[in-house]
Amino acid sequence: MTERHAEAATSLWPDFLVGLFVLLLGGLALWQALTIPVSPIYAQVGPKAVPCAVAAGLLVLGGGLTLAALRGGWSHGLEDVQEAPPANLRALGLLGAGLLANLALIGPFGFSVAASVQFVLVAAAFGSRRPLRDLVLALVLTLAVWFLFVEALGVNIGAGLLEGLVLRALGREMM
Amino acid sequence: MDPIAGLGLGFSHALSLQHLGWALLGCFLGTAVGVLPGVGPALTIALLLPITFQVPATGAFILFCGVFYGAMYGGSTTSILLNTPGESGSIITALEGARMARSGRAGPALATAAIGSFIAGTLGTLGISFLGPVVVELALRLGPAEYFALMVLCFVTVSAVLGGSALRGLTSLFFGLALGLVGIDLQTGQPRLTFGIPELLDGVNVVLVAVALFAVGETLYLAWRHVEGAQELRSVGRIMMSRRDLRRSIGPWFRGALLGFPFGVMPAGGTEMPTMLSYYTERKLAPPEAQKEFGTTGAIEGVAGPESANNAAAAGVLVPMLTLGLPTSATAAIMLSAFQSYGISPGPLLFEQQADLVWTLIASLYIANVMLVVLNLPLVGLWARILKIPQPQLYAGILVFATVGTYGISNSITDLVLLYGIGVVAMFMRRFDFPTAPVVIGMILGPMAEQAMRQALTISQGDWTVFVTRPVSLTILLLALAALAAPRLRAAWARRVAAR
Repeated sequence: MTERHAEAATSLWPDFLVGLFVLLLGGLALWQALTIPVSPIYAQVGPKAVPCAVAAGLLVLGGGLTLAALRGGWSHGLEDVQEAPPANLRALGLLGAGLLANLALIGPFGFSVAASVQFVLVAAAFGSRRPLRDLVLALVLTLAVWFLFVEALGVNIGAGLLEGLVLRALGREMM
Repeated sequence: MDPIAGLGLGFSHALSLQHLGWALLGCFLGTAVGVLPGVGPALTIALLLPITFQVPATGAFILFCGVFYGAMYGGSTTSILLNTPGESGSIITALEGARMARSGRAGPALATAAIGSFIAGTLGTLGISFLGPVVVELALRLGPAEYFALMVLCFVTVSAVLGGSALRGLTSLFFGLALGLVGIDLQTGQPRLTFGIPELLDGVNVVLVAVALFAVGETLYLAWRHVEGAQELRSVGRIMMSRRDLRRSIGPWFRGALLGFPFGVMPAGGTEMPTMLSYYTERKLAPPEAQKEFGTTGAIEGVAGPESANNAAAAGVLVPMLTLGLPTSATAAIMLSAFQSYGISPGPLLFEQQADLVWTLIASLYIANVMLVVLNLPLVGLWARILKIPQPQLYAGILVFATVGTYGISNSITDLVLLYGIGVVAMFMRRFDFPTAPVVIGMILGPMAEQAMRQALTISQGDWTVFVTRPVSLTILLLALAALAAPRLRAAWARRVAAR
């Protein structure tokens, strides 16, 4: 009896936290919405009305989700969840490391370097065992993408370390 | 302009070398994207949005629609050969299609999917050509109050009718609405929901959200659930359909198209419902020898019908988007924001003011269909080879494109942080069965709905009853209420019947 209770309780927790998270979002939205000053001209439906309404909506929905969680939750019955393999924390960790590396490196070192490091880490996350080959692939891909976006599409990403080297090798100035 | 004259005008422009080139590029990209698991048309069009800075509107939209249609064709290839649907409309195709592939009949399955897609795509585009102007006539009589009501209907049906639960769908929608509110209020210049962060004054970019939801979130979820091991890829074999296969497919092709198109037009649609309906219809209508093949060796009717329904529904989605400016799917919502970046607002006036653009676009859809059936039938071996790209490098590559798509717009680290943050939220949305399309639709349609509401109230001078005293607006709002209440009432009634 207690085992079933325990199982039911653990399966409730994730859904309950989701409900709380939505309530948190609603709370944040409401906090920000309330700081919007009321404009005298638009007293009827000014800039404040819809944000407050959306925040209120999120709070109501968060409450509904929390109630649904307390009443038994919904996600443990899903096919995806029941057939799910155990959480692959190594893969997730490597992927997260890749994203963080990109974030940290892109400012000082430019797109190609940061994205290449990210590529290698993400490929490793999904099981690639040859990081050196991935690195070469990544460098070619990111430089090609950089050229495509900057030249063909005219989007300015800024030239970092590698891009500057390549441009100089091609004998051109940065545009 | 009446459809025949419009089509005449459209074809005269669409057959230019430049527009044919855009169509071909779009079809190629779309098929590739449809074939690749993990990337969809919504994400691709979002990443292509920067081209709107350089390319004239007509060319850009021909490209986007080529990608849109192409993804529908490509998705079936993955479903059949890998038993992994390339996108949601191909889930049903995977049922019978993968079985046929396992029985060595991948070729006929692919052929029937491609030809069915062509027939349905053409019929659907005919639907757009003739239904479009009719809807436009009706829509010209709508005012801001009616538009607001229509958008409310759209919100309700997209979040509460599809998918598992109204509660979760509406939560996704409100999340999207909140994201859409971030930034400066257009009418008063007042910053809203910016948390005092200056980078947020410009609002949250739709490309960022699309990439976060579809690329980052999806990849995070897949890593979480990742299991080592290779995927099984079936060989293609001969792409020939026997005469018997052909005869069995014809009925399903046309029935599927007729079923799919209305679902695409209605703001509730999506592609899961019509494909499922088509599957059950064909299963019921198939002759006994064919019925035995369902669920065992794979029945060709089970591929022909749903694929047709899928493509016809995709064509149908363009009707409310072009005539009313109402997106009924995430992809349509992103195309809408592309229109906005050209300063064009789709809606009934589009057919009058931009007749050239609209009819050239529609003519290109017919051309795209022809290109796609050529790309997908004889060249299907090429696409099958794409599926051999190993997963690790594929997902790593997708994230590279995700980064450049986001960082390229703003060069802002804040945006990257936002991208990852929303990506993490999206990962949990996948885990807890929250649909993602309502987020995009809420984000793009929300500001428009707010504008419509405020306009209506300005015209009525602050009178809130304007939404229920105008008959059309009232009817639409009642429809929305019915759509919200009906599934719940039906379930309650069914419980009462079962209890008796």
